[in-house]
Amino acid sequence: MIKKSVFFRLSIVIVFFFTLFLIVLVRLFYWQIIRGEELKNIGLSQSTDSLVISSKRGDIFSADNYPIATNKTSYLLYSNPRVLSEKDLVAKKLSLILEIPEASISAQLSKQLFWVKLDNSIPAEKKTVVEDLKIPGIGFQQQSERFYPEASMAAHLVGFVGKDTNGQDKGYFGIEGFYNDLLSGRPGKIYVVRDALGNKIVNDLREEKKIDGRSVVLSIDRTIQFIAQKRLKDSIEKYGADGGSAIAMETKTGKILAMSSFPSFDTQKYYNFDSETYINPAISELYEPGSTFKTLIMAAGIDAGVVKPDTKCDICSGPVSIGEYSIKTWNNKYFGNITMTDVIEHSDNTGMVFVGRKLGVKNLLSYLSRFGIGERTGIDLQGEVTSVLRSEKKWYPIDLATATFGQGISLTPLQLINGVNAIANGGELMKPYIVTKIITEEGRIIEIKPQVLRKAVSRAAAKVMSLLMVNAVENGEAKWTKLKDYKVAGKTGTAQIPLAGHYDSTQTIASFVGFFPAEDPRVTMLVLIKRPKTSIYGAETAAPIFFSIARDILNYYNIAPTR
Amino acid sequence: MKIISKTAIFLFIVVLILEGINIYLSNKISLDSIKATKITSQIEDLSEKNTLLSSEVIYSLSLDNISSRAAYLGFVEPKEPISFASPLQVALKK
Repeated sequence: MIKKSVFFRLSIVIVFFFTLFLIVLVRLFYWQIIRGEELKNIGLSQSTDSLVISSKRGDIFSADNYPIATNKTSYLLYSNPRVLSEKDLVAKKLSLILEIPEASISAQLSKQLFWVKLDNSIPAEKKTVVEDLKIPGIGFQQQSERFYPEASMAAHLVGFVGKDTNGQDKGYFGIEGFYNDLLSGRPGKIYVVRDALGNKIVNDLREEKKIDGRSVVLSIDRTIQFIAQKRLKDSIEKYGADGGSAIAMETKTGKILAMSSFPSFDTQKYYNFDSETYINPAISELYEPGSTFKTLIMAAGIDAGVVKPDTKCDICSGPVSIGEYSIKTWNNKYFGNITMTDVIEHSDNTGMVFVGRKLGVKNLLSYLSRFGIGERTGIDLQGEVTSVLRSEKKWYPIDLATATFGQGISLTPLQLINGVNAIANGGELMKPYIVTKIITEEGRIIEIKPQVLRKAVSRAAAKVMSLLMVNAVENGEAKWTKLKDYKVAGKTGTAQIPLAGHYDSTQTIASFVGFFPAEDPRVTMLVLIKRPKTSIYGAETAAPIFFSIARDILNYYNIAPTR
Repeated sequence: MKIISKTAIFLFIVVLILEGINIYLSNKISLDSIKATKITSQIEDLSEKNTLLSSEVIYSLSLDNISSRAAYLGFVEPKEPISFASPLQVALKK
């Protein structure tokens, strides 16, 4: 029988050891569970090396599967200055071969380091020449570099690859910018665990596999792009213009066949150009469209049933007064009782005021929305902008009047061509797009289909408007430059540029928008010239460019003459 | 005793034979490893050359290059489209 005192002492000892055990348990719980993850990461960071495996950036192909943006091999030249002898002589030789200042090489070689970079993006030919010198203490590291074989072709549309704040490759502007995540893929990592002495533990090798970037195929036809670019560039020089844009769109699908703007830049050496040139004016700059806008307003009037081609304008015999303002025609010529057909043919501003009054602000705004004005088109390019249409309450009679002939209202060139394309396409507004296919890293192809946004006007109204535009080309101011064998539907535009609250009549944006062949349109196109010097008029500058490109496209597509 | 010694000698001979086979196979594998390393190196070298040549081919096919070469060689833009085929006769006089 155990005495009470012994039992009591035994109990105390048991409780004491139990408490100790509990304390240890709690402490273990704290280190292994609560702070376990943190300590594991610290341990890994101390004992683990990681090697980044770069992913290959996806290619950008034109419609004919030509890589307009791809990757090429180049080399980084490095040196170990600590083992290099005759540094001055080496610097001189390398400077001559690599065409870089001798001082920059000397500065790197004078550093007391084991590894210094001397130059990068060295092509293979120069690498061979340097290797033949057999200089001990220098070596090459292979690099992958973005390569644009067509140089500055479609520069604004393609964009370029620069560096982000972490020094990693990143696409800017155009396709490179919009699809940067898709094209980049994801780099891989190899983790190597080392023991306490720094030796690799071979069996413990973890790897995060890299995912190469996906490639994209564009709707851009290289030939049409080349033609448009060349014609535009030559004409800008000929007319002494500040710049210009040309956009060609496949009528039935909304695919962009060509998009060119000047001034432009070289995508390979973008850093040598002013950053302002990176901005694509076709989607990122607003302008007042002038008379080309009349096509949308007249189509709206016809669709709303407020005017017909033979409706007579009873306010067109002279300038139209609106408050303190007076709306005049571009050439101060007036035709009393002019028909709507003639309003478009003569580009009569007073006739358009007549149509605007018939429509009213509410209807006008409704139709502008249906044509996509005041909202982004949604094209897959980085940097698209839009103006915002004021609400109905904020429109004065003068605003309604000037908007009908494309002044006092602004949009991007892409928005205008997209609206006119709806007329060419039986009234259906398409979503413009550029990427037609995505090629996954496994080679699977994802097709991007055309998308109809909405019905802008009825098929009948679109047909009638097309005929008015054909008549404008046949008999209007640009008839001297029309194509002999093809019927083209089009409209000239000569928009004065607003400067400091007033319009300068000597500075214009001359444009021509249209589609061809008129009977069954394949291509809708807009040509826009900024501040031409030889002539301010669209009929004398933008129209000839339009028709020269159109002729080349019709020949390229082997489209038989329609008359 | 005799059995034990005979067993020991037998095992010794087996070990020698196995060791010989081991040395032979190791030599063979090491020669193959040298070949494999050479082949891997050749593959890397050829891949690099292939990538470089691909870039050259791509550049040669660029319209930018072709138009420059054409201008250099004296080609000019035709004023009118050129037809290589004379018109087909669709009706003949009897």
